[in-house]
Amino acid sequence: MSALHEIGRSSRGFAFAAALLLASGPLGCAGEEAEQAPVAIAVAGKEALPAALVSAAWPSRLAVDATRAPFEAHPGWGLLFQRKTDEALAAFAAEPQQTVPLARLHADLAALYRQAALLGANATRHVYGTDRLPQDPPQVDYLLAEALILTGDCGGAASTLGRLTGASELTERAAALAAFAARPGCLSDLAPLGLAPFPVIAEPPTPGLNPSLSTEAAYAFADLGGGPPTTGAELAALVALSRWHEAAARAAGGPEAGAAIDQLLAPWRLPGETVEAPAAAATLDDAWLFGGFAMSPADLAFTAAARTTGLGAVEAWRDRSLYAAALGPAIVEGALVPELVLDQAALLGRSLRAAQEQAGGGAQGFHRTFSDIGVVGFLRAAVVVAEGAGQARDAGILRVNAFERSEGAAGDPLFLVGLAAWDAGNRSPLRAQEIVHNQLARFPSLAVARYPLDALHLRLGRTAAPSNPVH
Amino acid sequence: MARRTALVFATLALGAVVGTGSSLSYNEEVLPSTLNPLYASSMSDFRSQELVFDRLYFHDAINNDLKSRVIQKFEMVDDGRGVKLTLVPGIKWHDGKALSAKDICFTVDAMLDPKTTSPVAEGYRAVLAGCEAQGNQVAKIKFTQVFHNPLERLGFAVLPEAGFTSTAISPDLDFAAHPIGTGPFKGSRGRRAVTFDVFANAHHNPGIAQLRLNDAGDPALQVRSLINNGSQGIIAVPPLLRAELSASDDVTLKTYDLRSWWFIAVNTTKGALKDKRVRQALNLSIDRSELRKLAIGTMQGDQNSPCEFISGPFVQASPYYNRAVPVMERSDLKKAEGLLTSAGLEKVGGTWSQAGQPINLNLGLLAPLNNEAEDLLSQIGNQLTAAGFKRQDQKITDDEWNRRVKTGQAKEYDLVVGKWSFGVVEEVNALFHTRAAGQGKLNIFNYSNPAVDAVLKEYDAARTDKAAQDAYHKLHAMLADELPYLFLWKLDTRSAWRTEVRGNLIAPYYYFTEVDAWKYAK
Repeated sequence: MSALHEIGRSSRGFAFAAALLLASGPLGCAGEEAEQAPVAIAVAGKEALPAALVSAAWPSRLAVDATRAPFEAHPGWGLLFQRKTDEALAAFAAEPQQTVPLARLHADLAALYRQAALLGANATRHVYGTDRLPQDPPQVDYLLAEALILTGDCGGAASTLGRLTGASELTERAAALAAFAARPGCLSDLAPLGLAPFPVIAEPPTPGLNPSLSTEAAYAFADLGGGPPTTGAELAALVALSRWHEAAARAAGGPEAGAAIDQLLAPWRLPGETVEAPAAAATLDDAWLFGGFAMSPADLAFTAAARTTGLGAVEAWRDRSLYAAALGPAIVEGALVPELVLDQAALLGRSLRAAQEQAGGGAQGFHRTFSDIGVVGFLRAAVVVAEGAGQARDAGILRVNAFERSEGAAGDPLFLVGLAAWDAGNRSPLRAQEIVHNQLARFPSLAVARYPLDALHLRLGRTAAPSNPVH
Repeated sequence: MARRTALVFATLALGAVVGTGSSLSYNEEVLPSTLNPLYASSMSDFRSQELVFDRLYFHDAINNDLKSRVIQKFEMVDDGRGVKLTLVPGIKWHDGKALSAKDICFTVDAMLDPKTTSPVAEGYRAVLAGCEAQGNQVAKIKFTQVFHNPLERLGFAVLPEAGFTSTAISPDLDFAAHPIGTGPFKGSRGRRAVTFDVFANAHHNPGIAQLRLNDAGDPALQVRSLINNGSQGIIAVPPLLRAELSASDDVTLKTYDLRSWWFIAVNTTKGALKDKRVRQALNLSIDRSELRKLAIGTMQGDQNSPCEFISGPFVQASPYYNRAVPVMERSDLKKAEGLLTSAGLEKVGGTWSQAGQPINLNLGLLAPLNNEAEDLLSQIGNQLTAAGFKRQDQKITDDEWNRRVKTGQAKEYDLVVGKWSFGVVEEVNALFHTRAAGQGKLNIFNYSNPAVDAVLKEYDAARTDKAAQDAYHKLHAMLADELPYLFLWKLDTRSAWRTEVRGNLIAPYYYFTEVDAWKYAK
């Protein structure tokens, strides 16, 4: 039984209805016009989504056994579906010709470690910024300065470093950080954070490799009152790891993969990083899409564009992107309405299931799994739009709803770590800790982000309203 | 079977009345024991009270902002040792009287009154020093010291002065069943259900007319009822039944941010259990993997399992969890036998005996847990029997748990199975400190160990966060050896609501904080 069968069974209790003949063949190209005729999908009480866009979505096209067969022939895809990113990377690395999945997985890891750095930075800004206590050792100014840089406040970082005292062990790194913060548009190029004196990843970026950060990323600052040392982490190490995977992705995918990698990374870049809105969708092999959270190349480009243009991206992409088309009716008087987005998400899920049934010649267990991925991808895109539109709380509501649907194959570690970063930004460490804890086995370098997250919990727990254990 | 079918029909018939229009019916883990916020002792209590009362300050369920619905503005005074709070005008109590600053001060005074025997109030006595009403709209609250983030310390529910005859508030007043609050709903507790009727106010405008809280009952019936729209929500769906609901288009599973861990408390003052080796042998006799498989339905190696074993009094994700202390997943009966023998016990006819008397364990379980983890009581009992112990099983009602188990009076039990839930504060001192001088108030079997007490004192006195963390790491290691509890697992809580229930954001811990935005739309 293939791993994809397992997904269908474990997440919804169904197995694929038909035995899959694993004949290999050329993969389709999603940027090209879909070969099958568009299906008209009507759902009672709702304006139907554009049939051509629904039919062109990867779940609809890959509902056809023969189209899906090449993917089922390789165990890496099953692992990717199970979101076992590390194992999938190893599986694809064994066959260097699998350049697209390798590029895609490295891009995912680059995004994940960017978000891990953001998680740590958000937590640090609270603990040693707004929630700082007199007994904190002076070296925490270094951690705070780095956190300010990673959250886009390079000016604040420079002034924080200016008051750093009693940190002789950090002199070299503090000077490098100050130089970094002083550059115009300091986050326009992250490269210096991956060089000495910051921790350096020894191996050159190589597709298929998956390095882990060493203990060099941890600090122990002496307590001036004679108590146990305060621990902290070097978040630049996570940035370096992210950049390492980005370079590995580009090495695997070659120059033609540049646009796709940029678009995959766009929603997950650090707050101060520059993101350019793409004007056109890339022509992408299905290997860029299968099992992923964009239904088409246009959805990928739309989501990247939404990071900078917010609601404007919906208008610009609604004739090409299923997500943009589905979001259109959820905009009322110039604002995205979360309840309407959720309605549209349900409509999208039903439409994708109907399209799969039509394409595949009947209902199969994996249809729900595929459409769930679509629903979560849509909600994630809506989060980016809402944030781009300055609707922070609405973005939060949509993020929580995306999280609640992130089960089984729709449970993407990248999104979850991103959610943890957002939680940390909101001074809310509990769910973030659960996420990091659950992901550590697969992504051990997340341990670096755990230091500030734990520090945030300790601080908030010890300064909160009194509370007793209850049953 | 016939009774079960009748219950299904009864539930559906009830749903036909309640689950229409903007009235919702939902199942709780257990009926709340009280609607008086000073005496909340279960999560059901806290959730229910959130519908009836306003807390002075609360956290937004989405962005965690600290907010207040009753305070219009605040001003720090007395060099940070006080805060002047101005009320939102026009707020009414459920009896129609106006909320005034005197009510805020009455609440503070009630919590400071030593005759108010509330554990909730006790925590606030370290924070609040007094309150002075300055006219009807302004209350000045005094703190015992200058606090970092002082408004974070004002998370208590506001009580009506007119609802009580004095500031000495006891748990047995009628107020506990028929409270008067300023929250979005007026609550009334009956014998088998609690109803919450909407109360439009200057600061609340709920979209639901009535909520009806039903006792949990059979989980399978709850699920059928939900799928058939006989009820609209379940607060805690057992893991075994989540897949069925997940597959339904009519129901959404909702996450509920709550930290809970399960345990078996051991009566360290009784018979053979006084001997640490016997407790360690019991720990080795429990096969947690098997229990989890049978009662929770998750298996070893499941990715992101909702149920994760623990070796101490914290969940593994917590910074207080000592990761150097290994969890015990499988039983080791051979090692257990060695320990029991070294403790002077003999196995006679397959049963362990001490001084010729067979060890007979009286095992109790907080009854609602048997819904969340199917048949857990029997499963644990069976494992103890297989290990050579005689045993009797009993379910403990929520009422008995509150009256006798938590107060250290249930001495007839040898072992009790329970669960503790926490928010961002994970203090466990009340569970393990010797019961004396106001300490150890939740110490189930009056466990006492001076070394443990010393570590708990170290936690209390910690000047830095790291020192507090180190103290609890030490505590974890000690308890894993001492075993006043056999630590089982943490279990995630998931709710399920009909998709017609819209806007139903679930707040961490308090659950219904954002209930004003909930709607029922067919």
